[in-house]
Amino acid sequence: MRVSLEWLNEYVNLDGLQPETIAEALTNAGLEVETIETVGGIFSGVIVGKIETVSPHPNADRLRLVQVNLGAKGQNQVVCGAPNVAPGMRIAYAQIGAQVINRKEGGLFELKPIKIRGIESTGMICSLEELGLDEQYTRQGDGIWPINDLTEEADLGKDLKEVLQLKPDTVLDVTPNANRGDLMSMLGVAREVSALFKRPFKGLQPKAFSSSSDSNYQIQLTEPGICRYYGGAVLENVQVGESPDWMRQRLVNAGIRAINNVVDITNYVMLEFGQPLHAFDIQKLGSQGTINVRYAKPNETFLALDGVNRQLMGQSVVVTFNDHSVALGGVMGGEETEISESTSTVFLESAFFPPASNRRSARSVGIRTESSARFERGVDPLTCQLALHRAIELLEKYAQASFKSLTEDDHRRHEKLEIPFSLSRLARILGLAISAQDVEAILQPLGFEIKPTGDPDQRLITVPSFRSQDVYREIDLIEEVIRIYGYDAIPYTLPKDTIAPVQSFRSRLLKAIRMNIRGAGLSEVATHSLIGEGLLQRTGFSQDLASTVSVTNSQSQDHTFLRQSILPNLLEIAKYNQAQGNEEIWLFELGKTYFKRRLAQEKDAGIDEPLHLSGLIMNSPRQGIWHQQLETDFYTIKGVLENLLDHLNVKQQCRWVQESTLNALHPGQTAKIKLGKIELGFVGKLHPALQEELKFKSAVYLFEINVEVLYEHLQKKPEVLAVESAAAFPSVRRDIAFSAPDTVTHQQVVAALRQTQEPLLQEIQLFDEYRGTQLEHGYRSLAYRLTLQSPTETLTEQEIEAAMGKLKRQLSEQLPVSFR
Amino acid sequence: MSPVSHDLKEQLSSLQHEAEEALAKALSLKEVEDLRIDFLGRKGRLTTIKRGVKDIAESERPLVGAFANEVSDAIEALIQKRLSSLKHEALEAQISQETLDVTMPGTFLPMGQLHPLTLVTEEIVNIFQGMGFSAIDDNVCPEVETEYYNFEALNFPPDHPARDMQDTFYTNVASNVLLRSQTSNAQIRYMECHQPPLRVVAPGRVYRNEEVSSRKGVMFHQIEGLLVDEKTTFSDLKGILHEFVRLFFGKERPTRFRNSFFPFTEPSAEVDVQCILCNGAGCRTCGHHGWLEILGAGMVDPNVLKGVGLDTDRYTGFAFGMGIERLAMLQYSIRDLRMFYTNDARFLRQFRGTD
Repeated sequence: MRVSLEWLNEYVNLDGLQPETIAEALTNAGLEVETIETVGGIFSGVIVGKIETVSPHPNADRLRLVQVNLGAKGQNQVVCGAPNVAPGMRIAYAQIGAQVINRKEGGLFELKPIKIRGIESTGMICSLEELGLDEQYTRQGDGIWPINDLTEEADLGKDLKEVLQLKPDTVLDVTPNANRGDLMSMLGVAREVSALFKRPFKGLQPKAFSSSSDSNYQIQLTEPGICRYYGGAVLENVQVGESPDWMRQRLVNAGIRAINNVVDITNYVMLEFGQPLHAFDIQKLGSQGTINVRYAKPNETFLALDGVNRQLMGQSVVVTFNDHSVALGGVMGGEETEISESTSTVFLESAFFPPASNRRSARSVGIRTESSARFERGVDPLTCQLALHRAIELLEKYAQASFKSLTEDDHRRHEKLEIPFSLSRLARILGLAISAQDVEAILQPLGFEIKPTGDPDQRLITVPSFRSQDVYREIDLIEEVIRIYGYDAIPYTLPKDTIAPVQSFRSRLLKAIRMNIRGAGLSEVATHSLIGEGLLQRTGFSQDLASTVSVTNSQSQDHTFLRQSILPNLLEIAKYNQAQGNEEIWLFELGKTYFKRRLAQEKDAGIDEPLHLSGLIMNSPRQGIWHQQLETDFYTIKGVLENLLDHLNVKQQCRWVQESTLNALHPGQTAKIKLGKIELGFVGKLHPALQEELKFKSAVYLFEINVEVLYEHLQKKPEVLAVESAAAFPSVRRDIAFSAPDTVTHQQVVAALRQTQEPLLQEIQLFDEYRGTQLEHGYRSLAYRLTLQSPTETLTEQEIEAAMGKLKRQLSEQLPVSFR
Repeated sequence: MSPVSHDLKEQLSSLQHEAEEALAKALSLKEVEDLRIDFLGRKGRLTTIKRGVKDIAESERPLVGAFANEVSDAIEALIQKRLSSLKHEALEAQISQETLDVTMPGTFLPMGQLHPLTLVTEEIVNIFQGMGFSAIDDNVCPEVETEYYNFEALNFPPDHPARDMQDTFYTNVASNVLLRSQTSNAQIRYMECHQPPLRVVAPGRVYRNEEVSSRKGVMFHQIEGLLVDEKTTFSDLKGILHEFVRLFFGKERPTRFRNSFFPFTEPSAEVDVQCILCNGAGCRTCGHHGWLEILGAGMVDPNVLKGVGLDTDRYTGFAFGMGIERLAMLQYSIRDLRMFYTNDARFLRQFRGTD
């Protein structure tokens, strides 16, 4: 809301207070001041002039030489580019040294003599924008501002501000908190200033109009839940016209367009009291009937004041006249019954629409107005009549209206709320004691009544009706006191008891994973969890629709559903970095993925959010390549994962299965990883076709594992590891080599060796693979180094031979191998 | 001394002299070894000369025998000296041959670096851990959440405009399922299964349906803090946050607490820190106010405590929430929030050495 200080000064004396001081105090007390703006004549040195002659500029087609008559101040020549310059036009002339607004950059600049295309130009003819008056005055088309209607011949040479009676004003743009409907009014803001600066608050007491019955208009609220009070006044002989200048100025400064005196008065009173009003043209409404407020009927549509015909919903609240909708209650009036220049009889509405149903109604039609913004925050339930009386008073005065009748239907049940308030409780919550006198000095100007009780620590505090929406407990009163008293006064203390923080197993695991992968050379990235179909298409991925969580109200195609894999993001980041000239790309992300798994309940969304670890490598970032070149291939990325699994001590339990279910991966270079029987993830090479499509210059290798599988597995292990002492007897190493068809996998060899359950066998290390001319096509030779050790003795040569014999026999029996 | 003895001694002396000359000419370890065999071996020349000892008078034998031993020791010493000198030369030659250009680059696989948001999150968590706060695990507080935890339990009345304060993403899962708009669901999730005293922080992703800009994204990270105990006061909140600011920004900095409104805290505050760029003088980053808004905080609303079954006469608490991107941007003078998610290697690389 825009708060004019000139207006505010009517309710609380602001003498001697700088706008900045007021702004800071309001901000600290919870009414955040976004901007402080000077309006209505920020310029200076501008006088009234009249165009005498217009002639072409000798050196420019679009410029003209204009002779300006400045009355007693003589005549000057101005070079002007405006299309609408015409002789006889009275204009705003900025003299040399004048301060006007720079239209491109904002802010003021000082006018200096200048030569434009070789011709001297003295001063400038101003547009509305250059004077900063474009909000206040309107004109059609571009160019300079003609002021023939606003000035007279005798004004030539006089100061424009004096002639137009422009009063500079300071406007604070404030954002009230979502629970403070009362601060959407000038009187509400004035109360705050009054409490903050301890200056008296001057309220507004309009002339009273008593309610009477009108035989032509009945109000019968059939659903008091959505409208608790409805008052309608009939005003006759209304003269629709312009509002007085001061009112137009205040409306403009408040950011509301001036329309005509009837509409302006409803807006003006809304700004004063925070109570939205609406005026109907009775000729259009109907001469006789019943007013009601009800929910919209199925398929009902409504043509609102903004010219849009809207489909109403079940939650839309409408004001009806003889059951015909004439307004969206508390949101917007209808075009059918709009006030126009020909209006002569007005039906003026003041009603109380409760916040929740009003908000639902406004949302159901997708509009938010000055009116709904107030009702949804909660207006003072007792202010309806006061605002109505005020509007009648102003219509009588400024639209020559004569009051005919005021009909009401009142279902408000406002009970005065009294809250026991304890000074010691305040001190206990804040860590600061505030005296009873100070508490009273703060609460009274805000409209609270304070009564003593028998207990010196206790007070009984009555909440004013305009605060009934946000103050209903002792804690709310404590906040009232401290926000005015100032948070600054509260000391800085630290909680007295110490608590030792706990590091969870999960957080240690995640940290270990990050540090390991990072140590392996991959850099961490952070990408969006909320992705779009485009990303999947661009990277050749898809995800399971049935378990996908989609958002229903996204504004962007790029953010429509939650990811189930991090890899599309990583591919996109890799593409971006390649385009930026990076050739070596090693990335990982440890992040959530999202799967719909169960039916949603009140307290369970039914979503699993497993943490995934994904990695991508392309080329090698190895340093010192003059010395040793390292090719990046499938085994490089597999090694990254194995190193992690080894570090976490689960490598032995993992199996690698040649299997690809992902179209994006090379079918011959993809492995699924299983931890026991559970799928942990996969590793593989990006499909060559996709590599080409995505324009990667080198092969790309990827992995993704489900960290939850690791977490579940590792969590089962005992927290304390019982460590055995290292064996005291030396180990021996023996090599074996054999040839075998390619179909025999390394994993099968290891499994066969392990199957012997040879107690001496400790480690199995593959140290060579050979294919070539020495071997038949489709065969390869594998060489292993086996480590043998006994926990109880130094092995003899015979024992070693016996064990090796057993191992070789087992291999030959299980697999088609031939030893060399 | 008999002439025989004299002759033997002469032979021994000349043998030593001969050995000295021969060793000086030996250029390899093998040649020296051959000379040892020739002079001192079992069938060597010294042995041959020593055989003559039996021909001399018994009385002179000890004297000549002793002299023969002296010569033997002297030749052995010469051999050792020559060996050592040759070994030294060989080592010199090896070292000279193995000399490298040590200015050429070493070979290594560079470590990756962690993402700035991870680093800043860790830093914040560490600071609060130092003050006794434990971090809540990510799997305790879902990002796809129900209205209950995102709003209701946090004292957002149904159909209250406070629900519009954050533009919430709703989902196709059910009408009450949304993407959490704040990490405050952690408060409820944690309090539902833990009893005071509580001191926790909970970092995580949150979502807002907003236009993406240099300062706002549809997704960003927050960290929630919660302390519930007997006798917890607003002044404790001020103290903890002031200490956080001091530790995070590296030095004591003025903080400003302004009144604000959050449904789940009462009284509520927005906390500003004196602008770290202009020290309060006013600059573009702080919008010429001299202050930077960094977090929202307040005393936990009694309705929230009651909702999780806590006795509000006994327990009070405070909660706070801050945007991690916002703090990271201030910490590292980053102008555009989107840089965190573009993941340009040249941007990320600059965070090496910060952890």
